[in-house]
Amino acid sequence: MVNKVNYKRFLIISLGVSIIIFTSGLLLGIGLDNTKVNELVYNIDQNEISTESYSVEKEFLNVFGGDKCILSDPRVKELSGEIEKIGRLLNKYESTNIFEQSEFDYLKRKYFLLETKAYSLFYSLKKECSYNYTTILFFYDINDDNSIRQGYVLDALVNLNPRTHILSFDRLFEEDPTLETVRIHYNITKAPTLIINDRIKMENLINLEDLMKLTNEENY
Amino acid sequence: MKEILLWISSFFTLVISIFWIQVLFTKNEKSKETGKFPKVSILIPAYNEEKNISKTIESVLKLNYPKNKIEIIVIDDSSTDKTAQIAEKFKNVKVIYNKHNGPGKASALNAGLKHVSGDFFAVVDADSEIEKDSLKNIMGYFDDKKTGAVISSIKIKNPKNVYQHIQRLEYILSTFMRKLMSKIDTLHITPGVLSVYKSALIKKLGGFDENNITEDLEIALRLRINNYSVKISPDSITYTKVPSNFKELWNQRIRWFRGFIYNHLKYKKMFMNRKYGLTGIFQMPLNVITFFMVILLFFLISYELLARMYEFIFKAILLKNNLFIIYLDFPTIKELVLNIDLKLIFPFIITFFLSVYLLNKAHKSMNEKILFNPSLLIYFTVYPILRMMHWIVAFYKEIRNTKRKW
Repeated sequence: MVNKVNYKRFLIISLGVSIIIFTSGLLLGIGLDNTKVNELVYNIDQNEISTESYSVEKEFLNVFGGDKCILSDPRVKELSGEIEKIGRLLNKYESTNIFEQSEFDYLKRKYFLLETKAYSLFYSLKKECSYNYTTILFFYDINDDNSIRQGYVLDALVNLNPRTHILSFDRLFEEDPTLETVRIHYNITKAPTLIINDRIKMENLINLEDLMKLTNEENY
Repeated sequence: MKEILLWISSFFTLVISIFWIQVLFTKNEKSKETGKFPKVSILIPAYNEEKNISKTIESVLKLNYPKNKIEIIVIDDSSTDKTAQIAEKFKNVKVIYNKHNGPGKASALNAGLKHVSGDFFAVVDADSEIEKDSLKNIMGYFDDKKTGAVISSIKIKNPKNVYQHIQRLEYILSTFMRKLMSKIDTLHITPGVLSVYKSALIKKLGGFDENNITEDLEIALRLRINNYSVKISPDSITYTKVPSNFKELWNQRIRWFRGFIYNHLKYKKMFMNRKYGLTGIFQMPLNVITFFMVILLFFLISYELLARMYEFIFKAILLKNNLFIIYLDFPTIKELVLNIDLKLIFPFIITFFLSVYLLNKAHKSMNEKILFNPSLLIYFTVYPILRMMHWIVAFYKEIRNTKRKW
């Protein structure tokens, strides 16, 4: 039989063991969070180098002559895919609060700069080499339902048409002047807003069918 | 907010699981072979049980207990079938008639109680069968003067369909929990399959509450509030029939859960009251916290499901025929691992393994095997949702004070 003394002891042991288990979970979670952050930072750095490498290569060919379009289409696709992946991770981790705000702002800034650089590169390659891919700038607001839904539509579009490159920007991010310049350039006032191939501006949520129609027309 | 609530419920579940595991490792209280066979009156309340009554009486007649120390009383509770005629065919079986409108087990038991001549009386449901040593094994527990009632270990014989297989699991787990509760002396139910009471004590306490739809819970709580124990005899095996379809199961559970709420309110005086030992300071608060946690989880899960459904509809509208293309982006194993929220998942994993351990122990304690059939999966996935719904409906009906019925 369990008497009152045993009962108290049992309860204290249960509480103690539970606290140990929860603390272990917390510590393991923090460890995993650190791994996530390191992985993300590494990915951003890698892609920064890749973009830089493209730009330098392009500049070299500009100065010394040669076929600029030798920068192959698949490499652009690869870079675009990586950038999209980083964007998705940044958004996911932002909602789980694994970053300190300053750390997160810094990573976001780096990411948006990387995107802006990639955007310029994609645009010039498309123009100079007549590549028929579609580049879409996607301006979103965090925790905005329509922005989240527009994200699904863009994910589906990339899956259906791999020659689409999506570069997403937090419309309200104010830590970087370059992003401010992009916002002013396209007169972005609400989210979601899409800029397709620098020419078409779509405000408000747009469904997949309409978006596909637009991108198809754009490439003809 | 959602995460905090999940954390709290997961912490609570973990603490309680570890508590019961410790109780599990304490010594069992054994039944003492006293060599005495006090007279026991066996009450069998029956309402339209013509299909089952014979088997029940036969199993009682086969009891390994001196025949002159057993009195069998069948209480025909205004049946409209041949229950009484069948019972009357048995020698040494007294049939009494309880005339009233509609079934009500407590009233039948009180009618039977008036005819009881034994120092003890047992209640055996008319759809139950009892093993021959079950009564003998129970009686040893009455050596302790503070024991007011002793219950048996209930099993389901040959479950046929998925509903019965789910209930088989449920009975294994609930009997296991009753054994643990008995160890810390907080057991507070005397199910009708086979429970034995002290006759004089129950008469002194006023018999069964006729306005109660779960008289087995009420009488046990009344024993408790009067500082009497309820014990379980693990070696007393009994078999019961259980609902075989959704409607029957639903009605039974609503009645049980309404009875739970009603009786916990009726005996609210016991809450956190040291006078009633661990039943007051531990078991009843635990019952109530568990009840509110079930309600909370129900709303959390419902909210999550509705939100996901709403989003799914939106996706379907936006993506039309290409809806499933967004689900084709399978993550790599590395991404999958990195996506895990260990802070939340880790305690869940531990709790899951503890539950599996307790499930295994529960089966072993009943000499049953874990059956790896679809019911096991349903029991741990769909059935908890159904149970939550039982609680919500029972709670709603109690708040609305709708008529309690059998």
